[in-house]
Amino acid sequence: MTGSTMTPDAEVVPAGPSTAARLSSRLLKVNVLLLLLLPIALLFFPRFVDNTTLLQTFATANIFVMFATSWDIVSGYTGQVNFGHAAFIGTGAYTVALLNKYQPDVSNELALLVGTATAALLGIAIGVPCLRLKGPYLALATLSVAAALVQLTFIYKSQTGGEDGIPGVKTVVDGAITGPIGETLSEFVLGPLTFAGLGGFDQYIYVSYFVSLVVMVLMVGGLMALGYGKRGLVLRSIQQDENAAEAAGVPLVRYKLFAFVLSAACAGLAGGLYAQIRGTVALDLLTVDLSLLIIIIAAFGGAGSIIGPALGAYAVILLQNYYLDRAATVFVEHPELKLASFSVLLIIVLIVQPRGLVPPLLRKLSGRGIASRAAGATMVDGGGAKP
Amino acid sequence: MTAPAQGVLLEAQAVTRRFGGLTAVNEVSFTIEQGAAVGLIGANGAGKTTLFNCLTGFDKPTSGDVLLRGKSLLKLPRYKVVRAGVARTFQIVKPFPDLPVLANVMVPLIVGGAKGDIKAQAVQVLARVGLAHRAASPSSQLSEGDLKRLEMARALATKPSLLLLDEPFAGLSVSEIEVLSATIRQLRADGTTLVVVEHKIGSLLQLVDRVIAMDQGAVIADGDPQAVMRDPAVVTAYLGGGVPGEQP
Repeated sequence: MTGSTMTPDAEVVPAGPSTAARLSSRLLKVNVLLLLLLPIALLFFPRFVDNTTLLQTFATANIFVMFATSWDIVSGYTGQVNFGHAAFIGTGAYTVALLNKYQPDVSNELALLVGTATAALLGIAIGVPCLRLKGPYLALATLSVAAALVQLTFIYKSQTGGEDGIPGVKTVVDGAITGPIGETLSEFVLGPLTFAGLGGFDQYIYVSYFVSLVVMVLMVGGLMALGYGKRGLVLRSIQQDENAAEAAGVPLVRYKLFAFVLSAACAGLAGGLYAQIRGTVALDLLTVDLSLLIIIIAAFGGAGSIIGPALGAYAVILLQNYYLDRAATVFVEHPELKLASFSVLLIIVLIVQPRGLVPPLLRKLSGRGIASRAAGATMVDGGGAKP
Repeated sequence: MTAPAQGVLLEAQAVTRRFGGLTAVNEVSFTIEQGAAVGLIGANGAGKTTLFNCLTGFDKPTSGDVLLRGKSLLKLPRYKVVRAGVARTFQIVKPFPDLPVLANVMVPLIVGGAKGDIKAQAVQVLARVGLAHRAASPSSQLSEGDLKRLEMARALATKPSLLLLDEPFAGLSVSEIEVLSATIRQLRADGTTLVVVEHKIGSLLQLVDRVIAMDQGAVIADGDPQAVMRDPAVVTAYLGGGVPGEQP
């Protein structure tokens, strides 16, 4: 294990690989525990909570977890800030809705796949020219593409519905999930209740909840495996210093493009699923407000850590769609105050914890002392991406 | 340890780099033998760093060619120049500051396709520059001298046949220079071919067996270190007639 014995100028290695590996594996354990416990808790959550409004909010939060984590794998990791993530979300959502409208026979699952692929293609179209350049080009390109897509919906108003969007998108209830597999799952987690047994609005809520949860867990799991693995380390080296990364032999364009297209595909999938949960698509899936909310969520939770933006999405969406309305009537009367409050809250958080709330918290949970914090930096430290 | 292998490793053919009306590097030609240790000197603005960038793929010559083992490097993207075997450090150190020391060295190993226990391999590379005991430290906590070693380790992790060091001694104390010199001598003993840009000539002369002197973008002397330092053109270029020696 201690490789130093093999070199001529061997030296004593008190903090050699075994120590470093032990420290980081300890940290990994906490992450893995969280990663395993949270979805299991969320899976059985509806069995104990008889509150469809809250469940619906959770389904939305699951979607936003995907928005934020898919943003993070590019912007948090490589430092190439995407100011128009809504472009990919909207592309996925509108593709699903347009397919429904013009090819009603296409299944929900196929529609999702097409939506994902279309968003990935848009990612290639933006990424290939922009990621070859160093500098803020990606930020400008993503911002303007998202704005251009909003204009496109007006130009093709008869197809996209313009301001009104496209209603009547087939919902998750029409998908394969209400078939035999979904019934087995619902029997297992809901006990006496099943999707079919619920019927009506309750069925729609429960199915939305489970489908969004399963897709979210798979996506976040995949992104964490990437981000916390070798490739994630290379992506973070790019964010630290592009010239140094090149001197270390990193194929910059390849890595950045890979992360960007993956990010676009994940956002497209999440957007398409969101369309199938809401049963409608509208301009709010393309606007800069959505892109900004995603950046706020990621920075709040801790950009460049995947788990940070994921937990940040839960906090922000639960506050925005549920708890704030119940905390003070002023938020019901003036919903625009919510985004303003988040911005203020974010500024306070960033002053106290510039790397967001989650990574420092995880470090505290997983070990004490400077050495473990140092080793932990490979695992959770966001690298301070400031969007 | 390893006897210097025979043959030309790097060849610069009439390398010229112009920035608008300024010719920073003018028709520079030389060859570097496998296993050599070559010093590159010249006053500020002589064109050393520009030449250095042209040799490592960080800049493209306006004309001329750079060959590694007879193959041109000019059309290659930077990471392929690195894979071909040319590694460099920077005059102003560029660590990955938020990554631990170990991770800094793991990055080149990962993209270089290293197999097996990458952490153990990274520690081995760190041991070569005497930095293994700092493996778990955040690189932002290293001293300037240790950062220079870290950069050297990161370059070594690309398994270079040619290592170019851009002012490795700049900003270091006398004792730090001594320690780093020993490290560099060890790299050479391990068989790495070295090109070192350095202003601290006294320290440089203890490391190299050949010196190339530049002035106003051109090579004005090339050969045995003592002979080059006595060359009237070098003396004039450096101190306007004085004797070139230790400079801060």
